[in-house]
Amino acid sequence: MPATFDSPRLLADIGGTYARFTLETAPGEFAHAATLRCADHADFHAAMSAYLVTLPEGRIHHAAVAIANPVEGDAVRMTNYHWQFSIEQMRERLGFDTLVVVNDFTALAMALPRLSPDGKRQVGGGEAHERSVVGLLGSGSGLGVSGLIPADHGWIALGTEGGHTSFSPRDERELAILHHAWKELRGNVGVGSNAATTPTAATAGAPQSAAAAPLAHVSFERLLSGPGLELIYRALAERAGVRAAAGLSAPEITRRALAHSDTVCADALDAFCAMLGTAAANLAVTLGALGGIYIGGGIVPRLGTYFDRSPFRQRFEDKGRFSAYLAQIPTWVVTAADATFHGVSAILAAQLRNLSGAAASAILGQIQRARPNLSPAERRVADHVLAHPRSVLNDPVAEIARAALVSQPTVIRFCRSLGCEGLSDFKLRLASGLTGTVPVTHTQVTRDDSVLELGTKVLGNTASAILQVRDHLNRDNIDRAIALLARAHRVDCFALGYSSAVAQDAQLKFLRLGLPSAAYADPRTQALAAQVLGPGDVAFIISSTGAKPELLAVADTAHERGARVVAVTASQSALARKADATLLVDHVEDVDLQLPMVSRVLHLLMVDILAVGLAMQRRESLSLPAGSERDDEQLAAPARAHSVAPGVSAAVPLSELTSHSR
Amino acid sequence: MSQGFPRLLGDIGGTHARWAWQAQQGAALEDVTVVADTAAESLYASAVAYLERTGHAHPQWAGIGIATAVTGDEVRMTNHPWSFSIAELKRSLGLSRCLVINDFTALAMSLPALGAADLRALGDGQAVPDAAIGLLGAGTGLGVSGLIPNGPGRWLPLSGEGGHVTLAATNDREAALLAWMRSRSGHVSAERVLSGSGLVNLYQAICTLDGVAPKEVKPADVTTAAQNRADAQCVAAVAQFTAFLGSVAGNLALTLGARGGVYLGGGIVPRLGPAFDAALFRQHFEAKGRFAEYLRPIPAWVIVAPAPALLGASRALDLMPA
Repeated sequence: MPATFDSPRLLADIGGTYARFTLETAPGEFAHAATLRCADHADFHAAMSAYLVTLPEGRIHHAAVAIANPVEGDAVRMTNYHWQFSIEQMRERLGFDTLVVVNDFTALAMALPRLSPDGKRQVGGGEAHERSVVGLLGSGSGLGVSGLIPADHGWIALGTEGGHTSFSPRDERELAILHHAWKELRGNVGVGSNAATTPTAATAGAPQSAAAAPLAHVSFERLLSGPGLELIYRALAERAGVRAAAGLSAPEITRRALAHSDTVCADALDAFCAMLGTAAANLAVTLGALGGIYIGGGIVPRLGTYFDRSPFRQRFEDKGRFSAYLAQIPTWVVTAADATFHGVSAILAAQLRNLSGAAASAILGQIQRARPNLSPAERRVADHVLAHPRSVLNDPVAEIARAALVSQPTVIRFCRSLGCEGLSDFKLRLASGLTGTVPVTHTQVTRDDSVLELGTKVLGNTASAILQVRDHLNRDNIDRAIALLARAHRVDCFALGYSSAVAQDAQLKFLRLGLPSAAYADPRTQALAAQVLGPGDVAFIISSTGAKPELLAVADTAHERGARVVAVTASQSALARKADATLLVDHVEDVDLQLPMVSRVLHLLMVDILAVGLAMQRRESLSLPAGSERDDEQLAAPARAHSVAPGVSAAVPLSELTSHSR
Repeated sequence: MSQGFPRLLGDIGGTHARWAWQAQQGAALEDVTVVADTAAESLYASAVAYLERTGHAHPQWAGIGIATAVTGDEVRMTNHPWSFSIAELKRSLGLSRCLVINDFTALAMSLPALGAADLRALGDGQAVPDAAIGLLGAGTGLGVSGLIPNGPGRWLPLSGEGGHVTLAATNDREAALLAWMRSRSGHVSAERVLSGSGLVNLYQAICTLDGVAPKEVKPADVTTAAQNRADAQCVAAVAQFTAFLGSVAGNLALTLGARGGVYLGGGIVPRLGPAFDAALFRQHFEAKGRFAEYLRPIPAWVIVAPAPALLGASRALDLMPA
């Protein structure tokens, strides 16, 4: 690791009122710190520019911003302030190579493992387990909650909304605060407010209202924040029969409490610390935070040693028979002023270097991390892949080289820099890393393909088609189809041409499940067979297009005979409209080849889904037909004798039915 | 990644031990067997009895989920005579690896592998892929766990004691129930109402508030009477149980950011079957003010699979570093 960075890194901490900036010249070395008022600047770009012009000459490559609102995706919108921007556009406008924007609380969490001993103060006893889960609460304008989970060689910061959990009162004083909060909220909160209840034995005993509806939500944040302290003050003034001083702000309540000049303020701060103890302990037990709990935010670090004498720690440990578990967990107040900068710096470093194990197997994350170490030409390929991952999957090497403005060997070098053997290998890893978020598309098999590439493409196409079908599975349709099949007296399978193999497969599976079944591939026989279906029977029709007149006729006849129709076919097809239940497979086959390949595999999988579902439904009443041959590999799972000893019950292993799908 | 077969898998509860055998990677579990803990004098003896009865020999690895906190080599079960050293168990069974984890952690590890047939959905919602997952199980106690995503297909299980969070009240009635229970037993944790004995606590508290003399009941009596609508206070106890479970599950979802869904395991909810009021659960699950918007898309499921913790113990062997 170099002693100084090649170019200083810009770090920012944007709150609701102030934007703080600094330059990190070397790991942990900060310079040119500045604080700007957000209100003095029209938007984020203006504030950033105002800071940048004060800096000495020299380009800044990488920047990271901690911001006081949730960050998901590219669009950032500040909750308590009007600034909003696109991260990617901002990066381009400011001319950075990297711009990372994270929630400020996540940044603070990432700083915790790096806090020096003088950056924190322990409250009470306990000792942290090495590399254990760590919890963080920060009370300020709201109540932030986060956690760090040890992973591989780094940490994963939890994105949580834990401040919004329901407040749990621990004693009479807190119950009074809760009732007061309900009373205040009833005025201005709609949900539940008019369902306010004075429960009586009569209503509680009546089954319909056996559990009363929730009232207005009183979260921990509602009480453990600046506005919360003010609410606690009002509640306790009422409880003490004292008139609450109008408009007393949280800092003023704190000041009076610390100066012992007002008993209600002192009571309020005391209750605040106790309730923070409850919230901290709830977080500790939920996460199993044997690595300790940290308290940050604007309020507690300013309380000084008062906090150490407050009921916080005693309450933290006061969890009935679980007190011993909590007594071993240390609690600290974060005192370091630049902790957020340390955290945001760590997040930036993790993005830039191949440090974090968090997304190690995601190829796009790997490209992002490897990017700074690539040659300028390879970096252009990286940028192209990051911008157009989907088209890269389809494009030949010449096309990728042209789009990235590099030579073809550079593309190959890029792949090797990422540890891949070549472009095919890279594409495979890209494809597996993309599923779910970016659709995987079809690739063309061409005459130039080597045998290996050809195999890779055929398998890759099939795999991506399967994943697409998986993403579009409709549970209702499957449920309905299984329900129809489960009630059927017999199921006859109908298909034409290539699909008849699927019909045969279905027939075998239905027979093995003890369901009378036949398969018909010839249109003439199909017409005759449909004529003898009756109520309680199911016609199971497989067709890629769903437009074959012969099969549509089978569906009509089946319905006339009182039978039901289950189809595996394309959505929007005539067959899909006729069927009582349809499993949809929309796959467009390669028109040049006219060989149904992928769709047949998909149809077989649909049959498997139905067979497994049917098997699960019929598990209890299932009996395999006697003397059936065990020549089918998939179904011939060993039928083990379950020796059942007294006091021993043996569960039927699902393996007998689902070994292939487990 | 996939090594250490064949495997002996165990799920050790307070009253019963469940054992299974897995021959190879991806293979289904074989010879799933449930035995009463009282049938053997130690965990080792129970394992050996299983192996002898099923004719399996020489497991390479063992993965065991156990209903207690596992903090070191010495494992001790609360209110239970079985206690053992993991290293000792490994040696005496001739294993090359023996992983002992909390049973709830094991159950959590199974969650990403569960399919539609293993689950019953409570209301709507759509899981966000690779987002955190929450798990609650009300049974003898209240187990709480979760899975934190660690890259695609990789998960880190939480092993906490989240059943001991302080119980919140969301209306006057609940506040009154809490006050009564606190006057009897001090700290009122979520487990104090969301467990078998918790059901009885709730029943007694409701009887007191309603001015009805409580009968001597066991947890199963409460659920049965509620299912048959035979007793107003039992009906109310089960409804209140459902409401508290919804609220606690909502808190867990918020704390973990569990947009991957919340799963309900444990003995009680699956046993209630259709008598479990999904709408009431969702109402209290989502009743978090403006965070209802956050919670509404989060799916909740009841785990109905027969032996998910055994599958989870095997996945834990694959996913947790040796």
